[in-house]
Amino acid sequence: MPAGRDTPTVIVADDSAVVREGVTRILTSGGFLVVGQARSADELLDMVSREQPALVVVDIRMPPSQNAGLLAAERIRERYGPQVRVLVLSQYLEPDYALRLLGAGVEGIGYLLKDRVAEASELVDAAHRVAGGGSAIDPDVVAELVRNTRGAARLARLAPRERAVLGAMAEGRSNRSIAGRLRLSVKTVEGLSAAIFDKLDLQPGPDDNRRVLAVLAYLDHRD
Amino acid sequence: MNARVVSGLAGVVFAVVTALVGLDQGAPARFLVLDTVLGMIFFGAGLLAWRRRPDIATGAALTLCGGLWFLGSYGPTDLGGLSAVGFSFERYYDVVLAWLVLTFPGGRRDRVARATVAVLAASFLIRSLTRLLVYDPPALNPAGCPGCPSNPFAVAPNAALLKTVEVATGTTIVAAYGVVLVLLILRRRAASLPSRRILWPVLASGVLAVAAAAYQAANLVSDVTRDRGLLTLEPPWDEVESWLLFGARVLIPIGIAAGVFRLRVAQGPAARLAVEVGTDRGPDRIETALRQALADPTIEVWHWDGGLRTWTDEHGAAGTLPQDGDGRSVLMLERHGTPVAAVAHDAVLLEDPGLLASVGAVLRLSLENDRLTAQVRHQLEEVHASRARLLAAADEERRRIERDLHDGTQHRLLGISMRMQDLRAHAETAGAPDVLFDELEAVALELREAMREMRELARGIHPAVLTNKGLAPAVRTLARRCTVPVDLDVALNGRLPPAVETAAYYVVAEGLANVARHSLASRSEVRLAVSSGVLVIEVADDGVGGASPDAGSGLRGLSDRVAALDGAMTVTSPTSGGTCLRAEIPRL
Repeated sequence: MPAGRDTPTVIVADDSAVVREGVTRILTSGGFLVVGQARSADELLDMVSREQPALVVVDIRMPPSQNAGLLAAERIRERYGPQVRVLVLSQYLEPDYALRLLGAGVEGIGYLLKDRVAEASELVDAAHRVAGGGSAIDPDVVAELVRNTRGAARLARLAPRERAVLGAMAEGRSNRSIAGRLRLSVKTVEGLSAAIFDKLDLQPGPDDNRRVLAVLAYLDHRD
Repeated sequence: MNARVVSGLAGVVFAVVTALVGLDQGAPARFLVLDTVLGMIFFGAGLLAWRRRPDIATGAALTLCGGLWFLGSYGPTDLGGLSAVGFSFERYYDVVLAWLVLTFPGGRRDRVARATVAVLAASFLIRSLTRLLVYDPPALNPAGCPGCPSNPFAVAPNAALLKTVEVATGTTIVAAYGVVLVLLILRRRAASLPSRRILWPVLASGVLAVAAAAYQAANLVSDVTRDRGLLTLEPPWDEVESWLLFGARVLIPIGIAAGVFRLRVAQGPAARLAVEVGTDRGPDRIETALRQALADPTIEVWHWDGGLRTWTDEHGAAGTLPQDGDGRSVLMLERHGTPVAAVAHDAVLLEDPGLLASVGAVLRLSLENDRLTAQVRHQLEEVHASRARLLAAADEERRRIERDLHDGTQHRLLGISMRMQDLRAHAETAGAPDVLFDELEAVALELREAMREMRELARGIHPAVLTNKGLAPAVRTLARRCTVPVDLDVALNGRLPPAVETAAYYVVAEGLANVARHSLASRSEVRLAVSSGVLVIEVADDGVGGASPDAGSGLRGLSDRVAALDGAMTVTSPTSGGTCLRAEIPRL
C-alpha cells in the first residue's frame, strides 16, 4: 500500500535487527509509514520527540536494562498521551505487564506477544486498532486470565459462544471486529454482549475501551 | 605405700623401744613422755604429709627426723653402745629440718642454701665421728664417772681432740644456723602472696626451730669452753628454757605438715582457672583468670603469631616476650614443638612445682579448645558463604540462560517465521500448488508451537517478571496458573533483595505445585508478609495432609536454598488433613 496523506506514521524499536526489519516490512505492507527504527530505549525516546509518530511498536526488552522497552512505553504514554499510541511486543505471557501498562485507560495501547510477528495479519490488525485509539490485548494473555480457575468457575455460567465473545472483548475488539472474527452478525454480537454483562453483573460501558477495562478487571479479580 | 607402712612401723617400734629404755633407766615420767611424744609427732606429721603429697620428699624427711629424734634420746642413758651412738648422732634431725625448711616444698635450686646445709651436715659428721671414736666417759673422766657407760667404739680416747673438735664444729654449726635463719627471712620477703600463704607456717616454725637449734649448739660450745652454759638459770627458769626449746621443736613438724596441706590447697587454682577460662569470653580472659587464680597481678599472657612470627599480648599488640631472670619466669606452652603461648610470671610461683604444671595443662587445653573452636567457626562461615555464592551463581546462570533464550533463540525463531511468510508470499506470486501452501502452514504452526514452548521453558528457568517487577506479580502469576483456587494475601512494600525474592518465589512455586499434585485440596492460600525484618511465606491448603517434609528432592532443595539465606522452612502436614509449608527468610 503506498503511503498517502492519511497513512499513519510509526517508529519500530527493537534491539534485534532481524525483528526490526521484519516488523518494518510487515507494517509497511500493512499500510503504515515507518519513519524510524530505534535500537534502544533512549534512541526511541529521542526519535519520538523528533518525529511525533502516530504509533510506536516497541519491544518490552531492550537495552540498557531488561525492561527498558516497557519503561519507555510508559514514559511515552505519560508524555504524549493520545497523540502517540503504543503497541508493546512482549516475550512474556504475564497479564500483570499488560494490566499495568493499561493503567488508567486503554485508549491507544496494545500488548502483543512477540510471536505475533510471525502472523503478519494479526500484527497489522492490532497495530491499526491501537493506532486508531483502540486497544489490543494478545489472545494468549486473555486466555491466561480466563484460565485462572477462579475466573473459569465464575465464567461457567456463560455459554461457550458467550465466553468466546467475552475473550474477544478482552482483546480490545469492537463488536464489528468480534462479529467478523467469530462469523456472527453484529446484531448477534450485541445481543450476546448484553447477555454477558447481565450475567456477570457488569455495567455496560459507554464505549469499547471502557468495556475492555471492565472485562479485564472482572477477569483479573480475585475474590 | 610400702615405704610409708615400713616407716610407720619403724616409728611404732622406736616409740616402744624408747618408752622401754626410759622405763629401764628410771627416767622421770616427764622426760619419758616428752621424748616419746615428740618423736611420735614427727612420725605422725611426716606420715600425714607423705600420704597427702607422695610426690615430694617432705613427709619421708619428717619421719626420718622422728627416727633421728628417737636415736638422740638414747644419749643420756647408761646403755653402753646405745648411749655412745645416741650421743654421737644426737640432733641430726636439726640438719634434716634445716634442709627441709630451706627447700620446701622441694625442687628449689638455691646454691647458698645447699652449701649451708652441706657445711652443717659435714660439721655434724665430723663431730659424730670424733665423739664416737675418741670419747669414752670413764677413760676421760679422771675423777671417775660412776654409772657412766663406756663407749665400745672409742678406739683412742682423747679429751683435747674432742674439745677442739667440739668447739670447731659447734661454732661452725651455730654460724650455719645463722645463715639458715637469714636465708629463711630473705625467702619470706621475696615470696609472692600465694607462696607466702603456703610458706608461712613452714618458715615461722623453721625460724623458731633453727633458732632453738642454734641456741642449743651455742650452749654446748659454751659448756665445753667455759664449763657452763650461756645462761645460768635458776629454777624455775631452767624449766622454762627447756619447755621453750621443746615447744620450738614440736612446732616444726606441725608447721611443715600444715605447709604440705596448703600446697594441696594451692593446686585449686588450676581447677578455678579451668572454670574461669571456660566461661569468660573477654579478649584478655586468660590473663585475668590467671592473675586471679594465682594471685599474681604481674602475670602477662603472650600469644605466638605463627604467620607474622611475633609475640602478641592479650590485646593483639605485638611486643617482646619477657625473659627468665630478675625475679620473672616464663612458662612456654607449645603444640607440636612450636610455641603457642607463654605466661610471664613472678619466679616465686616456681616454688610449687605442681602448680605451674597443672595451670599450664589447663591453659594448653583452653588454647587448643579456642583454636579448634575458631577453626570450626571459620570453616562453617566459609561453607556458609560458599553455599550462598553457589546459589547466587546458579541463579545468575539461570537468568543468563533465560536472557539468551529470549534475545538469541527466540529472535532466530522469529526471523525464520518471517522468512516463512516471505516464502508464502513468493509461492503465491509464483502460483505454487496447494500442497506447498499446506506444508508451509504446517511448518509455521510447528514454529509457533516451538516458540510457545521456548517461552514456557525460559519462564521455568527464571521468571523475568520476578526480576523486572518483583515478588508480588510473579506470585500472582503462579496463583493464576495453579489448578487449585488460590487465595492470595500479599502484604509487601517495595522490593526485596533478589536472592530473597528468588527463594520466596520458589517456595511458593513448589508449595503450589505440591498442592496441585498431591493434596486433593479444594482451596489453598498463599500469604507473604514481612514481620520484624523477616519475610514469612506460607502456602496452605485444605487437602488430605500427611505430606512428609523429606518427600521429594524439591522440598529438600528448597530447604537448602532457604537455609543458605539464614532462613528456615517447615512443613506441617497432619494426617488429619491440611498442609502448611512455611518459610521464614531474613530480609538481609
